[in-house]
Amino acid sequence: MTEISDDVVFITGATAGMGTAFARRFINEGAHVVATGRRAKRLDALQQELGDRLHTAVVDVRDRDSVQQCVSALPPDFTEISVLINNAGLSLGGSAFQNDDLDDMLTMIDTNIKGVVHVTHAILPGMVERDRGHVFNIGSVGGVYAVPGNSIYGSTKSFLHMFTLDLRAELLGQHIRVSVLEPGAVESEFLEVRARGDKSVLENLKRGFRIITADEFADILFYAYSLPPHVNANIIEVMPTDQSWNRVAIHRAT
Amino acid sequence: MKPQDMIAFITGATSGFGAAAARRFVSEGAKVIVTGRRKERLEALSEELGDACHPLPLDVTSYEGVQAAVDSLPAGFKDISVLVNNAGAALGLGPAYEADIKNWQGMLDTNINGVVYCTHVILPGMVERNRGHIVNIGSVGGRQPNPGSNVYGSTKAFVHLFSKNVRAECFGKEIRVTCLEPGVARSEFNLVRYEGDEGKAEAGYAGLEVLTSEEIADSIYYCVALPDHININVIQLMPVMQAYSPWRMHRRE
Repeated sequence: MTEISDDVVFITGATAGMGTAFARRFINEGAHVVATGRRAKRLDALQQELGDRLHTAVVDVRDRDSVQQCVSALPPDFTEISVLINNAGLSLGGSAFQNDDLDDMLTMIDTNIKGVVHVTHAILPGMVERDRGHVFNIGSVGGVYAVPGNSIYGSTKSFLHMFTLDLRAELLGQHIRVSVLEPGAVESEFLEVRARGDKSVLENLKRGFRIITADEFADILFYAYSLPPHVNANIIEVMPTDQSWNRVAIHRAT
Repeated sequence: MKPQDMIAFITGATSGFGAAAARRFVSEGAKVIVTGRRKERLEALSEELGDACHPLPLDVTSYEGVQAAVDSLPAGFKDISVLVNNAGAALGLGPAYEADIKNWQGMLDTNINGVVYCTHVILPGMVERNRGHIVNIGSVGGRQPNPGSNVYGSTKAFVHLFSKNVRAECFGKEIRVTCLEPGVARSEFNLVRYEGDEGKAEAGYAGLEVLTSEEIADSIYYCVALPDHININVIQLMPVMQAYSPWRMHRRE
C-alpha cells in the first residue's frame, strides 16, 4: 500500500477556486504538490502559505512547450507525478454560437481540450512506466446535458467525459485510475471570468441558493482518490441540491 | 444528512450490497429497515445489528406488499429518510433470441417495478417531512451496450434516468437522489446469474480484484452523509481491472 506522502500531485489552474482548494487539501494530507497556473503572484502567495512540499510553476497549458518545460524541469522530490488533476478550464461568452466571439471559442478549446491533452501527454508516460497513477479530469454537467449558451463550453466538457473513459479502456491492465468529476455550480472564479470580471454574477447566484464550495468539491475529489487502489470512480456527477434540470424548451409559433 | 436523522429503508438486504449497507448505516448510528424475501436472513441480520435494525420481510414485486409492509412499520421506524433501492438481479446469460421470457419478466418485475413501487410508497412521506435521500443501485451495464446484458442493462438504464427525473421533480425540496453504478462486484449477483452454480460464479472473479459489498456500502453512505446541499447525481465505480473492449467486427467469409 502506497502512502500519500509518496504522492506527487500535479494541478493545473491552481491559482484560483477548485485548483487552489485541491492544492491545500493534498498538502494538508501530506502529499507533494506541483501547483501550476498563469498568475505568478498567486502562485507565490500559495507557496508562502503551503511551504516546502509545494512546488509552483508558471504554466500556460495552451502552450505545449510551456507544459513540457515545466514537467522536464521539476525538482528532485517532484518528478514522479502520481496524481494529475486537469483542472484548468474556463467558459467565455455564452449568449449563442452565432453571436459569440470566435476568439473566445478558440480560447476555450485551447484551454479545456488542448490544455488537457498537452498536460496528459507530458505526464501519463511516467505513470505508465511506474505503473502507478490517478488522472482526474474536471468535466461539467454542461458536458452531459444541453443548455443554451453552452455550445462550445459544454462540448469541451463532453470531450473530457469520453477522454476519461477511453483512457481507462487503453490503460486496462495497468494500475492507473482515471476519473471525471462533473460538477454543477461550485464557488469559483468561473462565473466572474465568464462575465468578464463582473463579480456580481456569482453574488446574485448565491442569493438564497446553496452553492457547493471549492473546499467541499475538493473533498469529493479526495474521496475518489482515497478509495481502495483497486476501485476506480469513473464518473462522479455532483450538483447543489438546489440546482436541477428544467423542462424541455418549446418554441411555439405565434 | 446526520446519522441520527437517518432511517434507511434498504431493499434486498438479505445479502451483498444491501446487508453491507445495513451494517454500515447502523455502525454510524443510523436506524435501518432491512427488507428482502428471505425471512431467516433478515432475522439473523436484525439479531446481529440490534435495536437499530427492523426486519421487514418483503417482495418488492408486489405493490400491495410494499404498501402493507411500510404501513406496518412500528413507531421509531415510520419516518423513512433514506431509501436504498438495491434489490435487483441479472437473470440469464445468453443472447436476446435465446432468452427465457421468465428471466426477462423477473428482471422487469424486480429491477424496474420494485424500484418504482418502493419509491411510490415512500417518496410522498419524504416530501411531506421535507427530508429524504433516495439511492438507486444502477449499473455500468445501464450506460453502455454489452452482449448478454439485454434486459438487465436496459432495466439499469431505466434506473439511471428514473433517478434524475425524480430529482428534477423534487426541485426546491430537501430531497436528494443518487444513482450509484457499479461494475463487477462481489455479491450473490453471480450466484443468481449462474443459477446457484458456485463454481461458475467464482470463476467470474478469478484473477480479478473486484469491488466488495463493503466498498459499495461505503459509497452509499458517503453520498447520504454529505452535507444536505450537495447531491451526487451519479457515481460510477469499476474495478481498475475492468474497462471497455474494442468494437467487434463480424467478417463475412
